[in-house]
Amino acid sequence: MLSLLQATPVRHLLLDSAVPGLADAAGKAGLVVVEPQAVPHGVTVVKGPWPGIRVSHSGGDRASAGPTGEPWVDSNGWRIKMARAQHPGGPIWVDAKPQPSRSSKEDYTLAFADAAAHGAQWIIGLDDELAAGVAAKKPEAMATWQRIVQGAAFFAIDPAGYNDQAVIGVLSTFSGPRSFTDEVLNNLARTRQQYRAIAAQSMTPASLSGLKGIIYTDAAEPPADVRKLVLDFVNSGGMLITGSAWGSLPKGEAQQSHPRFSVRKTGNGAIAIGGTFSDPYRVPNDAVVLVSHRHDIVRFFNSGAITPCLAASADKRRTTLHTVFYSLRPVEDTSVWVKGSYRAARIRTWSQPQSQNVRLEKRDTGIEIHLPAVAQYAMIELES
Amino acid sequence: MHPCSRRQWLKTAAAATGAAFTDPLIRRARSAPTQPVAVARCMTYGPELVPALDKLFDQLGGLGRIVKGKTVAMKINLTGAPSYRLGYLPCEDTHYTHPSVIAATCHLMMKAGARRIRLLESPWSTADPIEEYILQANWEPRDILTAGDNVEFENTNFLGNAKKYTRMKVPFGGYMFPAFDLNHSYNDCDVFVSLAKMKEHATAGITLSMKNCFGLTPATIYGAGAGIDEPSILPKGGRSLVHSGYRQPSKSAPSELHPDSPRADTYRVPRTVVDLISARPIDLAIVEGIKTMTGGEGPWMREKITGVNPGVLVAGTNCVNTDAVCMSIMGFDPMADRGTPPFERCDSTLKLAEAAGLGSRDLGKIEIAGMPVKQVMFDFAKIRRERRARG
Repeated sequence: MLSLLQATPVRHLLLDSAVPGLADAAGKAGLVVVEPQAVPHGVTVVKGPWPGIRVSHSGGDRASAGPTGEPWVDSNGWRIKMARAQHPGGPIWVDAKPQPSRSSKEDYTLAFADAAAHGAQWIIGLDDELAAGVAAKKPEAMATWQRIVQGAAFFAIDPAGYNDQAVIGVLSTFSGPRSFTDEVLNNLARTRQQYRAIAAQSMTPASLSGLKGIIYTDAAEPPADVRKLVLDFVNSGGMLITGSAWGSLPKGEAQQSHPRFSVRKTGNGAIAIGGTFSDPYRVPNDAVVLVSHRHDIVRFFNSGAITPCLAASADKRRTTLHTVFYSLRPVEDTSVWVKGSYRAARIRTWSQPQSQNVRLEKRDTGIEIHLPAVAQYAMIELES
Repeated sequence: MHPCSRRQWLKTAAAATGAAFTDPLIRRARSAPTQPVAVARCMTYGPELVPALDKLFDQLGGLGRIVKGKTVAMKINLTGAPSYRLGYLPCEDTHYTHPSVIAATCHLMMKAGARRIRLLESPWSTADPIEEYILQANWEPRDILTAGDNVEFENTNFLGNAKKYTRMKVPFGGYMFPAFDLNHSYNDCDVFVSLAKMKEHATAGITLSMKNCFGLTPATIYGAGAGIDEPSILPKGGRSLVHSGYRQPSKSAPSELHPDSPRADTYRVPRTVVDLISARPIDLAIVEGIKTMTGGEGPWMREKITGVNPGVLVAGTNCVNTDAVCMSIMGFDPMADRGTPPFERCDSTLKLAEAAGLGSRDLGKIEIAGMPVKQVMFDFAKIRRERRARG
C-alpha cells in the first residue's frame, strides 16, 4: 500500500490506529508517521466539512440554497483564515472527510483547491468505497487515486512571501466554542468580499494593511491596545463596524442613515454602531455595503459559486488570485476584474496546469481578464 | 409555474374578453391617443450620444416643456444580478440601460430646468442602495450623480425612504390588479420617465418602455419572499408571485381581481404591466437600442443570444405609441396578436394597453419624427426566425 505514495509529494502519513509494521515501513519509505493527536510542532489542524455545494436533504441532486438563493457552499476558507490569524506562519492542515454522496474525482480536486487557495493543505482521506477500490486496485478507483496524486502535486502551493489582500477585517479573540464572530466570518466569506481574520492577541498595525473596514462583534470589550490600534485606523480613514459590546466610543457627527446602524464620522473615517447583534448573516452583508463596493479589489462575472483569494508579494510586484469554482462542471464565460495597474497576466488551471499568458484589458481603476472555461480551480498571476 | 390547460385558457380568455374587449374598451382602443415619436441614429455611447438625445427630445417639442421646474422620477432597467453577463460583455452593452444614456438624459433634463431627478429601480433581491448595486457591475455612480446638482438614486424594491407604501389605483379598473402598493418615489414626482433597453422578452415577447415598468413592484409585497399579511422588511427573490400567481401579494396590498384567471405568466405579465402603467402613467418613454441583445431580456435565456449594435434611440410622450414604433424598428408588427411573433406564446402588451385606452399601436396613426423607421431598422424578427429555424 505504501507504494501508492512513492514519487508523490506526500511526506507525512497520519495513522489513526497502529497497524503492525506499517509505521516502520513508512519510515523506511521516507515518510514521517504522525498520530492525529501529535502533529508536528507548528502545524495547526483545522477540522471542517467536505467542501463543495451542499446537496439538498430533500433528496435528489438539488443544491441547497442559502439566504440569498445562491447555492450554499461548504468551504473551509474562513476556518483556515482564522487559524492563520491565530498561528501566523505555521502550516495549516485541513481535516475534511469525504462525504460519500459527493466523492467524485472532481470533489477530491475541490478538497485540495479549497485548502490550497486559502493557504493550507488538505489531509488526503478517501471515502470507504474508494479506499476499498484502491486496495483492490480496481481501475476506476486507481484512476481517481492518480488524480488525487496529481492534485497533491498541483496544489502544493507555498503561501510564504505572499500577503492576503483584503478590504474588510474581522477582529476577534477567536477563543472558546464556535462564536457569533465565527459565523460572521463564515458569512462574510460568502459575500465574495476579500476579507482577513485578525486575532486580537497578535494584532499589529500591519494586520490592518490595505483594509477599509473592520468588524468587531465579540461579546466582550477589546483590550486597550487593540482599541487604540483600531481607533487610529478609523481616524486615518477606516470604518469600524461594531456593537454595544465595544464599550465607549468617540462622539461624532451622524453621517449616513442606515436601518440597522448608527453611522458617525470619526476623524477621517467612520464608526457604524449596531447595538446588540443577533443575525450573523446580516452583519457581514451590511458591512460590505457600509464599507462600500467602491473599495472592491476583485469582482467576478458569470463565475457561479466561488471563493476568490487575492494575495500580493511583499514588494507588490506580483499578485496572485486563487479561485475555487465549486461547480463540478467547467464554468464558461467568466470575467474577473482586479483593482490596480498590471502589465501582464498568466493563468494556470487544474485542467491546463501549464501557466499561459492571458490578455488583460484596462478597465476603470483596474484590469479585466476573460477566463477560458475553468473546472474547480484557477490561479491568475499578475505582474505590476 | 402552473400550466394552463386549453379548457382553462378558453374559459379565461372568454372572461378576459368580457373584461377587456367589450364595447367600451373597443371604443377606447379606437380612440386611443397618439403623440409624435422621435427616432435617432446613434451607433456609440461616445460624443455623439448627447447631441443625438438632445435632437431626439427637441423633436418632441423640447424637454423643457416636460421637466422644467419639476421633480422627475426615472425608471431605469437593471434586470438581473450585476455579476451576470452575456458572455464577456458588460451588462450595459446587452441588458442594462447604459450608464452613459442615463447620465446624458439626466444632464439634458437638468439643463432643461428639471428641479430634481430620482433614478429608480427595484434591483434583484436586495434593499441595498442602487449605488452599491451598480458598483458591482463596474459602474461608477458618480458618473451619473454628477450629471446634475440634484440627481439621486432610490431602490424601490422595498419601502425605501418613506414611512409607508403609496397606493396607486388603476383608473380603468385593471386587468389583474385594481391598484398597487408601491415605493413612494412613483407618486412623489411630477414627471415619470421610463428609460428602457430595446430587447425581446421570454414572457412578454418584447420589453420596451412599458414592460420596463414591471419592475415598479416591490418584491417585499410582490416577490417570492413577500410577507403574507404585511410587506416583508427586505426583498427576496424575483417576482414569481406575479409571474405565476401561486399566491397573492401581501394582504396589506390589493389582491388580484380574478383569482380564477390563468396562472400562466404569458397571460399575467402583459396584463399586470398594463395595469402598472395605467396606475403610474409614463410621461416620457425613452428606449435605448444603441447596444443590446437578441433572444431575450437577459443572459439567463436558454435561446441562442447575442450582443448586437442596432444604434438607435427612440422617445415619445405616449408609451404605447413609442413601443409600437420600437417594434417596427425591431422588424415586428406592432399590430401582432397572440400567436404571431414576438407574441407566439403570450398576449400583446401593446394590444392590451391600446384596449385600455392608453395609446394607439397603429403606425398609420403615429407621427414619426427624425429618422425614418426603414433607415434605422434592425431586424430582430429575422434573427428570431433564423434562430428558431436552427432550433
